[in-house]
Formats: sequence, C-alpha cells, structure tokens
Amino acid sequence: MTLLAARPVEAAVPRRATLALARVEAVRLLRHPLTLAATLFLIGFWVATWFTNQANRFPVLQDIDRDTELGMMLLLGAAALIAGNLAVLRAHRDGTAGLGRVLILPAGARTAAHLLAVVPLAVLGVVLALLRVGVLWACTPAAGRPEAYEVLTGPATVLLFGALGVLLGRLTRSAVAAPLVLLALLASLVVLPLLTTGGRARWLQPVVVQGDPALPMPAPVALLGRPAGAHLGYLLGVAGLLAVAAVARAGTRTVRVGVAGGVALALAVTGGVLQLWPLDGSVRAARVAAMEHPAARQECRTLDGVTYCAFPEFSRWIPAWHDLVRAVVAQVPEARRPDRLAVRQRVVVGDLSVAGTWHADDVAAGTPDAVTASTRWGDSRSAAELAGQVAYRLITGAGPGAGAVACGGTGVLTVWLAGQAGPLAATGIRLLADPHGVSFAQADALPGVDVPAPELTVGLAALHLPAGRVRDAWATLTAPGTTAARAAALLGLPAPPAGDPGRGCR
Amino acid sequence: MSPRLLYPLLRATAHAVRWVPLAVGAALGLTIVVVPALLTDKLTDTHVVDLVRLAAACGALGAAFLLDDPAGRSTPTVPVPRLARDLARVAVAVPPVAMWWAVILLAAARPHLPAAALTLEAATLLTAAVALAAAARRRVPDGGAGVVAGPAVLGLVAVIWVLPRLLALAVAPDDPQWTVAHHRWAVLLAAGAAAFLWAGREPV
Repeated sequence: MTLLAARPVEAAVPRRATLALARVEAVRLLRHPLTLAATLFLIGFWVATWFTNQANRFPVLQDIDRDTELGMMLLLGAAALIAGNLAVLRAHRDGTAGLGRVLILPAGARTAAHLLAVVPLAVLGVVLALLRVGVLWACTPAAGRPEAYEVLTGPATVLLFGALGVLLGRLTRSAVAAPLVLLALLASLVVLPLLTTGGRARWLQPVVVQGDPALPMPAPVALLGRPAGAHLGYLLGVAGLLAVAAVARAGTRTVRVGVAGGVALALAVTGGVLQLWPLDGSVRAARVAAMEHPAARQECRTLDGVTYCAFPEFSRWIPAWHDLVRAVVAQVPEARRPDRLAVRQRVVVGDLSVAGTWHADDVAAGTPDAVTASTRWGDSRSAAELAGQVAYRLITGAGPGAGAVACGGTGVLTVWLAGQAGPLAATGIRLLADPHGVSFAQADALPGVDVPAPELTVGLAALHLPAGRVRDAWATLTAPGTTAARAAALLGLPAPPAGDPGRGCR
Repeated sequence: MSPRLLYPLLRATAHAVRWVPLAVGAALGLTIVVVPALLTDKLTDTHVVDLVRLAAACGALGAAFLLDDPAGRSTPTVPVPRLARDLARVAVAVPPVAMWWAVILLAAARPHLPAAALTLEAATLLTAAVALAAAARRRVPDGGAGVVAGPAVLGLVAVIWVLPRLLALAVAPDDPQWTVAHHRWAVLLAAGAAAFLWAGREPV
C-alpha cells in the first residue's frame, strides 16, 4: 500500500522540480547579459533603420515581418544558442557536475528544464515582433498586413537555436562550440542563396528573407505565396527533434521521449515537404490577374479632381501620393491643367509585356492614361518616378506608356516639373540620373518616361530659377521643335553639352 | 626576465595552452572558405571577402580561449610577470595562426582578393579577441575567461558588421570607403594591442 501510494508522489516531484528549475533558468536566461544586449541591439537596430532608410516611413507590413525574422534569429536566436549552451555547461564550469548526481532531478529532467527555459525568450520574441509591427501600423501610414505565421517564425528560430545550444551542451563541454555554430550559420546565409538560386529549396534555411524572384517589389499579401505556415511547422519540428536529441543524450530514453521525437519528426517532415511544394496555381493566376488587370482589385478615391486607385492594403498611401501630385499640378498654368488625372498602383510579376493590357484595363475602368504608382513609397526614387510620370502626363496629355521619350523642351519641362514635387523628388531625379539621362520607370521595372541627358541637364539647372520664369515660357517649351539648347537659351541657362541624342530624339 | 628562461617558458606555455578551441575555430574557418568555393562558381569578390571575414572571426573566437588557464589562481605567485606569461601564450600561438591564415588566403585564391587589407582585419580581430580575454580574466575566476571573451568577440563582430556608414569597417571591396575603413581597422588594431597590454598589468 505504501509503495503504491509513493509512486505518484515520486513521479510528481521531478515534474514539479523540473518546472521549478525551468523557471529559475528562464529568469537567468532572460537576465543574461547576452540576452539583454541582443534585445537592446535588436530594438536599437529597428529604431536606427527608421532614421537611416526613408522608405521605412511608409513600411509594407508583410515585408517588415520578414525583416523582423532575420534580426530576431541573428540576435535573440544567437543569445538563446549561446546563453542556453552556457547554462547547460554551468555545472561543468563551476566544477559541480558531480553534485548533480545526488540531486532529485536526473540529467534528462535538468536538460528538459533548460529546454523549457527557452520558451519565455521565444515569447519575448513574439512580444517584440508584435510591438514592432504595432508601432509601425499605429505611427506610420503602413501598407499591407502582417502574416501571423511570419511573425511567429522569428520566435520559432529562437526555440530552434535554444534547443541547439542545449544539445551542444550535452554533446561537448567546450564553450566554443555554440559560437562557432553561429558563425557557420552566418556563412550559410552568404552561400545558400547562391546555391538555391531563388528555388523552393531556399525554404530549408531557418529564415527566408529574400522574396520570390518573380516579385522584385513589395506585393499584396495574396500574391506572395510564401509557405510561411509549413515553414513554421518545419522549424518547430526541427526544434523538437533537437530538444528530443538533447534529452535522449542526457540519458532519458523513455517511451514519452520517443513519442515526442516521432511527433517532432512528423512535423518537420510534413512542414519540410509542404514548403518545397511548387507555387499554388491559384496564386500564379492571382499574380497574373493583379498585374494585367489591377483595376478590378483596387479601390479608388478622388482627391481634388485626381483619382487614385490602389490595392486595398496600400490605400493608406493615397494622401501621400496626393501631396506630391498636388505640388506638381500647382506649377502647371491653370489653362493647361487636364480635366482628368488618374494615378493607379501596379505590380509587375516577372513578365514585362503588360503595358498594352494596362492601357485597355485603364480605359475599361474609366481612368485612361493613368499614371503608375509602385508598391514602394517614401524614398526619393519612388517620389521622382511618380513625379516624373505625372509631369509628363500633365505636359503632353498622354500616358507614359512603355518607353515614351520626352525630347527637347518637353523633356526639360518634365524634369523641372517633377523637381517641383519637393526636395525628395529632386534628390530622386539626381539619383536616377545616368550618363544617358534619366528614366522614370513604372513600378520600378517597366520603362515609363525617358529624358535624355541634354534635357536633364537643362531641367535640373532650371530648378534653381524662379518658377514664374519657367511657367512664362511654357508655350514655347512645349512647342514641337524646341530643342534642349533652345530651351536653355530661352531660360537664360548655359547650353547643354551636345550629348547623346538617342532614346528616340532626333 | 632572463633570455635563458625564454625557451623553458615557451615550451611549458605551449603545453599549457588549450589548443582545441583554436584548432576547431581554425578548421571551421577553413571549411567556411573552402566548401562554398567547391559548391558554387557564383561567388563574387564580395562573397569571398565576407567568407574570409567570417573565417577570421572563427579564428578570433578560438583565440578568445588562448589565455584560459585552469591554474590561474596559483600563478600570481610565480616570478614571471603576468604580462610576460600572456605574451608567451600569444608568441606560441602566432606561428600556427599565421600559417592558418596563409592557408585561408591561398584557399580563397581570387585574382583581386585584397589579401593585405583582409590580413589587417584578421589581425585586428585576433588582437581584440586576446585583449577581451585578458580583460575578462581580471573579472572571471578559475581561468574561464574564454567563456566571457568568446561571446564578446561575437558581439564585437556584430557591431563591426552593422556600423553606420560614417564609421563603417566591414565595407565591400569595391566600396570607395575601403581605404578609409582600413585606416579605422589599423586604429582598432592599435587600440586592441594597447588594451591587451593594459589588461596584463599587475596587481589584478
């Protein structure tokens, strides 16, 4: 009777003791200098990107959660790996390994406690990731929406690395192993993208930061087709396998551990296989539809007579587009302002032969010759590209179309008018310029409006003139046959160097 | 210290040094440089420079354990000063580390590999690692300075990697800031050497 009664108590004590040890280790892990430094570094890095990258003023949340994963893996994950490893090796380091044998907890249970101690750090990761997304959503006109699986991927890498640290601690007593594994992982980040060349095999990495090669620009969530859920399962499965290996290595090879190993293996294999599955046909179809016929998937808003159409996730950017467009329109003589002006957001997916489809789509939607806005905003290049296309549309009345060339006075005026959008756009024009001139691309990929070098030179010089002086010369500048040299003489500017007359100008 | 003491000191030091972390770090560094070159021919100069830098970090991580001495508590009583003992450890490690680095550069063989500049970077990381170990040893008992210095080396590498443009150290080989960045590396090397000498002073 006594024996029967004693057994549950014996079974219960190690469990309670395991949880108690896990609590202590979790607190130690959270308070470890490495964890504190990694957390501060991570937050500091996120804050710093706010000041160093103008595009972060208009973030795209489905890209932000991906960016969060990498930082979290390299900082919090690294802290979990090294601090978790050091925690396991503490007894050896302090020369108390022998004492552990007389404690109530066997080595396997102590290992399990070290593994459980990583969980609060992963929870901290979830909190930090949500905080970042939340702050960006609340404090900026952020586009898009975060994907739950992507948000959880960073914390899953923390679990994975923590389990790896504990396993390493059970395999070797050397404290150099865990940091070296981290460096090997960094090397894999350099090499694996080259080996996988954008194929599905890249999903075998812990974190896949690179987007789909077919989507060079940010895109609506529905078009991404990232197997984030399967990848999360894969990461958790591998973390589970590492954890089971650590416990087994510590000497606990019970049925329960075997079952846990089986579940982890099933999760890792299922997630691993599903994430390697080719892209779903419906996603492909949605991408083509969104590229060729964006109007049907967009919501439009009219501000001061200008119609703006954007994918619903990006509609928070419309007021910012309008600020730029308004600044450009304000410099056009009133008599020459068009009755209708439309700006439409577009995405480009791999295939580049869509300009004709766009024209038909615009006509059907009642917004002919709509100017293209891309899915990136906030940086100087995007501002210059939109301003350049709007300027060309206002001057010529024609949509940019593929490969339009603004020659002579029209080109000079296009650059000048685009520069009126503000200092950001003016900086963007200078950044986009090359020895042949400047190209205001559509959706960062398709040719929009090209301005040759002589016209660009005069246009940039004209930015320093009083606006009235350029407006007074409007009629002459837009007259056919006005060359860049004539425009320069008209505005009292030095003649441009005789440059490449190419890009369609004769 | 008498020159006659030098040989016995170096010989005993060579026996006492924990070579395993250094050897494992060096082996991993070599693997990091050699294996990618075998797997793909798409490596650019920038990729190779990054991999060589990671190899240098592996070596530095091993070097962070160079001053570990389980008998650390008993050595304050010996007549050889602490700084001389530290320098002896560095002296016995320099030849194998230099050979390893030469092998790394040979393995990474590229026509335009900036070998001298990368050697300066590696020397800086290795010096910083030993300096961190010397500094950590002043606080950590029982000769386990590497346990603190190792992660500190990783922290240093992380900081170097993300420094803002104004202070950038880890720049790409085609970056106009390359030369200026290597002036900064030289300053860091001098600072590391000075810190190492400072941390070796007695009493602790």
